[in-house]
Amino acid sequence: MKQKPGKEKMIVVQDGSGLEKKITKKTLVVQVDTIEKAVPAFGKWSSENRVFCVVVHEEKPLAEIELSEELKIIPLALFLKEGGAPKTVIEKSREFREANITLYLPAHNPENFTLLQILASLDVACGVYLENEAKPVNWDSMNDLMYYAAYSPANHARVEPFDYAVSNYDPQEYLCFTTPWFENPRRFFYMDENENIALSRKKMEEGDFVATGISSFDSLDDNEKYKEHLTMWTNQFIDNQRCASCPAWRVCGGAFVSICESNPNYFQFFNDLLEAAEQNRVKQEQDTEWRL
Amino acid sequence: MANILLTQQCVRSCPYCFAKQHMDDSEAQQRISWEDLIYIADLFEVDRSNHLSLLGGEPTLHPDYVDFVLYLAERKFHVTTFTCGIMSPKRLEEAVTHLKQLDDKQYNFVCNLNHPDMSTDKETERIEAFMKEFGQQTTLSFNIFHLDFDMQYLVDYITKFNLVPHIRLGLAHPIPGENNKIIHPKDFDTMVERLESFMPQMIENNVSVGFDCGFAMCNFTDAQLGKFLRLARSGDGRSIKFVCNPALDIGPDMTVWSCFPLSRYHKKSIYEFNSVQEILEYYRDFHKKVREEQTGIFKECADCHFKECGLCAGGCLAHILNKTEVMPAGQGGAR
Repeated sequence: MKQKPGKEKMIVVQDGSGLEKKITKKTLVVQVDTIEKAVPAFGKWSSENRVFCVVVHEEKPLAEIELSEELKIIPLALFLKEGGAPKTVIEKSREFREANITLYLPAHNPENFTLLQILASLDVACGVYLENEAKPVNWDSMNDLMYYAAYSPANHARVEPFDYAVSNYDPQEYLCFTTPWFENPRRFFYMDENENIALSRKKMEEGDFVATGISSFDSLDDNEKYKEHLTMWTNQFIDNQRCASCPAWRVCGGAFVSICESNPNYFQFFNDLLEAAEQNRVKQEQDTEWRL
Repeated sequence: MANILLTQQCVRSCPYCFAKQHMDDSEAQQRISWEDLIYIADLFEVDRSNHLSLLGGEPTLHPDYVDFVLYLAERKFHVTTFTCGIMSPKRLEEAVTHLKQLDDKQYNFVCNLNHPDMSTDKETERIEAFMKEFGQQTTLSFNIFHLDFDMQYLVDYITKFNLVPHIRLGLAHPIPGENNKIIHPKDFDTMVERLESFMPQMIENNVSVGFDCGFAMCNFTDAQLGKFLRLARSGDGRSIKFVCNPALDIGPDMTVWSCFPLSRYHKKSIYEFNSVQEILEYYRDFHKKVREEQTGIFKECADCHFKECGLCAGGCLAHILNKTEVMPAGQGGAR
């Protein structure tokens, strides 16, 4: 499958890894563990590089997040464990709206779906993420939120990863559903303090690397292990796995095969997401024709 | 504008309650969900409506009531809460802490205030605690359901708690097929005379009045009309109206109907409509069809010039559906 042009490759680094002196002229995603570290990290890493986004893995609930004026001007993705009281979140929504921020809440807590819908309807960019594949997800709730994100005629902010999937869907191209979570082996390359490069956060934690050294980043396209990884999806078809006959594969990409086998609503969700993406594509084409 | 029922539970049991039929037919425990509230807000935002009313039962009983007001205000809706003013101290404290952070123009209350004789001391205490906190945001609503009604206590409350100097006058409407307390159309003239008797107190205290739906123009003499018009305009410049339009009530189960007295008729799921305009057209059409059969509550409505030119709707549709006796002029009918 082709990849859309303009999808820049980025190195995902952890603030405090000591790599900031070694990496230059690259596009980076910088990870920090508290919101207070985001501004200093952005300043430090952007002196020699372009920081695409600061990703914060925050323990505090959303309701306790305070955004300073400095925080509002840097691109932020905030991955939270919990939301907190809707009342407080609503009262803070103006702050979030003014910032260049996307707020993520984990999918295993059903209350988060409600809070995300509230946030999106208040024009705050947000998203749901799978914190841990072992934690069960209510795929019906996921589907409801997707429907809201894709079909609500009222003005609302984007809800990820649905907005990404719907607006980037192209039947001729590979779509990586997890891209908004900074998980896409074609775009995001996780580098540890020893300059080991992994294709996801999980793989980095597991020590599953494809290359080592900052210099190897520029030649990854020639790296055999990397190339092999990119074509792994073909095995699902060669081995005639469940995904081979699944229409929703075009948006799911076989990302969560283990969940799919145990939960029929997972399949329904991706099927409906595909339908939303198809409808959007047809609409875009019609709009283009009308303009011509 | 629409009325969203947050809950079907109520702390009162008013003898005239025109929501009774709907409440009896519904589950008391039913409460509106966040998802449904957002759906309604979306529907009205697309329609460019910027005013939503929260009703019940008693809407402040909903555990998320304050959150809902904050949310709708954040979406630039003006939120009116129709309440009886009886709130638990905890709920009142929550409302004070959070709603007072809002701009005054973003929300208000319409407090339906029965005569103090109809309330226990504890209820009165709670109503007054509410008015003490939100007096400047509160307009009183008074439902007329018997002929020897008193309005002096309303003026006293307005003065004591610095409430909005305006009284929304409602007529207790009949629920077709039920026996709730109402003013029969034959008694409308007497009711208007009684109303007129309270005018001096209202003028003295700069209190204006506004008519909710169901009043008929012909029950007022020209002199009374002039007085009430002057009283209405002395407030916020509003005029008095003699209307009966679909109000659009939306229940916690996402059913929609024209108004409480007509809740038994043509109750539909809100999901059957694509827009607010579609809902309005549907219920306007329903009103129109009924009025094609019988124009108004009085015989004279059929040939009424003021009805023809839209100055008067011809009374409440519920009276018509309730098969109210059509009376000739001079016998409690049109003047």
